[in-house]
Amino acid sequence: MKEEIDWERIENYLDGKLSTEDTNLFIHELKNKPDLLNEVLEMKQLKDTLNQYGKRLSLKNKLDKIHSQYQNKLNNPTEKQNNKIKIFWIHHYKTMAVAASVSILFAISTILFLSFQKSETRQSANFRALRKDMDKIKQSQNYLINNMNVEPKVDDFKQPRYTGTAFAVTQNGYFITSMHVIKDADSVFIQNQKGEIFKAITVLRNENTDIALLKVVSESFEPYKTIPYSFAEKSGNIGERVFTLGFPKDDIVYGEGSLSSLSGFEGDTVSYQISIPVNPGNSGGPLLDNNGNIIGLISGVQTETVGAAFAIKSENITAILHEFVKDTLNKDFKLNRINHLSGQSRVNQIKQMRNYVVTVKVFNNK
Amino acid sequence: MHLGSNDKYNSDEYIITALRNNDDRVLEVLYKLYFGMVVHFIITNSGSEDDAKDIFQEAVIVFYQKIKNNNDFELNCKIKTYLYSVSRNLWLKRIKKASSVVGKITDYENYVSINSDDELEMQERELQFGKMAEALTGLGEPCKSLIEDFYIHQLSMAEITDKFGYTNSDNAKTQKYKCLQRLKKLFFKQKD
Repeated sequence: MKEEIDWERIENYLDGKLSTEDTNLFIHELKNKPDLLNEVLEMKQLKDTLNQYGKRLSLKNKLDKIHSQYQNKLNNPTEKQNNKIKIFWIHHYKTMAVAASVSILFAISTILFLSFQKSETRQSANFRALRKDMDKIKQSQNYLINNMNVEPKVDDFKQPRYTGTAFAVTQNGYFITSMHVIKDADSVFIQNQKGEIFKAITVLRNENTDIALLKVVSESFEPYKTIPYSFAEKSGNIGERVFTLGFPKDDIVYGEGSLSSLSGFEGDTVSYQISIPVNPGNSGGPLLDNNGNIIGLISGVQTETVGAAFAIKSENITAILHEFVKDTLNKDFKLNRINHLSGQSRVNQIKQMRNYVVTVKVFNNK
Repeated sequence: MHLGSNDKYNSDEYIITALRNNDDRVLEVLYKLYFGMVVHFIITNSGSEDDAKDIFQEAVIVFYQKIKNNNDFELNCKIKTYLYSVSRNLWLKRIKKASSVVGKITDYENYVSINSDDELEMQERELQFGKMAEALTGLGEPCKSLIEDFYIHQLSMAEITDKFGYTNSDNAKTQKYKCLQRLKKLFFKQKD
C-alpha cells in the first residue's frame, strides 16, 4: 500500500522549519521508509537546483543590464559628435559653396584655355595624357594602410582589416590618426608598445584634411603623466630634417628624411611632400622636426614617384582640433603645448616618444 | 563612489571581498576593466561582439560562482588572467563545436590552464540548469509562473494566492505542491 506523501512536511524538514521533536520523528521515519527517503533526496535536489537556477537568472539579468549601459555609453559620444559636424556645415556652407564654385569656374576656364591652343597639338596631347595619368595616380596613390586581408584561408582567423599608426594628443586617451585608416571600421582598437589593447571610438573625422580623432574608451587605459611633444605652430621649412615613428610592421619603425616640398599630392597645399621611406601601416604617424615638434601627420605616398611621401601640415591639424575644442561636448580634451624633446639626442627623443605612438587596428566584419 | 577610476576599487582583493559580501556593484567594475580585452580577443579570433558578450558573461559567471561557492578559494593568478583564460577556453570550445578545424588562435594576454574539475563542475551545473529550464517550460501555465514566483522571485504564499486568484492560501499551497510534483517528475525523467 502506498501511503499519501506529506509534501509540506518534507519541505519544512528540508527548510529546517520542523521543531526538534518533529525533526527527530521524521528522521526516525526515514530510516524505516526507503521510498520516503528517496522522495526527500529528490526533493532536496530539485529545490537546490531551482534555487541556484533562480540566482543564475538574476545574475544574468544584472550582467545584461550592465552590458546595455556599457553599450549606451559607447554609442552616445559619437552621436553628439555627428550633431557637431552638422552644425559646422550649417555655419559654413556658404563659404564652402563659394569655394566650390570658384574651383569649378577655374576648372572650366582651364579646359577652355587649353582647348584654344589647337595649334600646339603636343601640349593638348600632354594635357589629356596628364588627365589619364591623374586617374591612374589617383588609384595608385596608395593610402598607407596595410591591407591585411590577403588571401583569407578557411582555417585562418580574422585579423584586423587594416592597421595604421596613431599618436597621443592628450594625456587622457585622445589619439590622432588618418581618417582613411578608420574609414570602414566596425570597431577600432589601439595597441601600445607594451602590447596592451584598448577599444577606441572615433570622435572626429575630417575628410578634407584626412584626419580622425580617436578616444580610448577602455577603463583599463592609464592616462599618460605627460605628453613629451607638442604641435608646431608654424609649418616646417623646405630642407628641414624630419623623422617619423610608425607601425608598418608589428614593431615600431623609425624613418627619417627631409621636407622636400610645401605642397603635397597634385599641388595640395594641405600637405607637405617629404622624402622618408614609408610603408603601408605608417599612415597616421607623427612627423617631427629636429626639436621634436610635431609638424605633420603621415598620410600617403605617390607610387609613380620614388621617395615621395605626404604628410598633413600641423597648422591644418591644430586648426581642426581647435574647431573641435570649440564645438565638442567632450570637455576633457586639452592639447599639450609644451615640448620636452627640444635639444635632446634623436635616440633620447625616440625613447620618450615610443610610448605615445600606437598601432591602430581596424576591424570590419562585413 | 566613482567606479573604475580609483585603484582601491579596481584591486583584485577589493573585487573578491566585495563579491563575497554580496556587493554586486563590482560586476560593473569587472565589465569596465576586462570586457574590452575579451571583445578584442573574440573579434580577432573570428567572432562578433555578440559572441564576446556571451563568452564574457559566462566567464564572469564562472568566476562569480567560484568566489561565492568557496570561501577558501584563492585565485592563483590575476582576475584579468583568470577571466581571459576562461573566456579563451569557452571560445575554443565553441568554435570547435562549430567546425572541426581550429586554426591558429591569436593571443594578446597570458593565460593559465583552468582546473579541469572546475570545468566539469561548470558543465554539470549548466546541464542541470538546462534541464530545469526545460522542465519549467514543460510544466505550462499557471504552474510555471507559480513555481517561479515562489521559488525564484521569492513571493509569499499570500501574494501568490492573490496573484493567481485562489480562494485561500491552503488552495494555493495544494496547487503549489501539485505543480512541484509535476516539475519533479519532468526534471528527473529527462535524466541524461
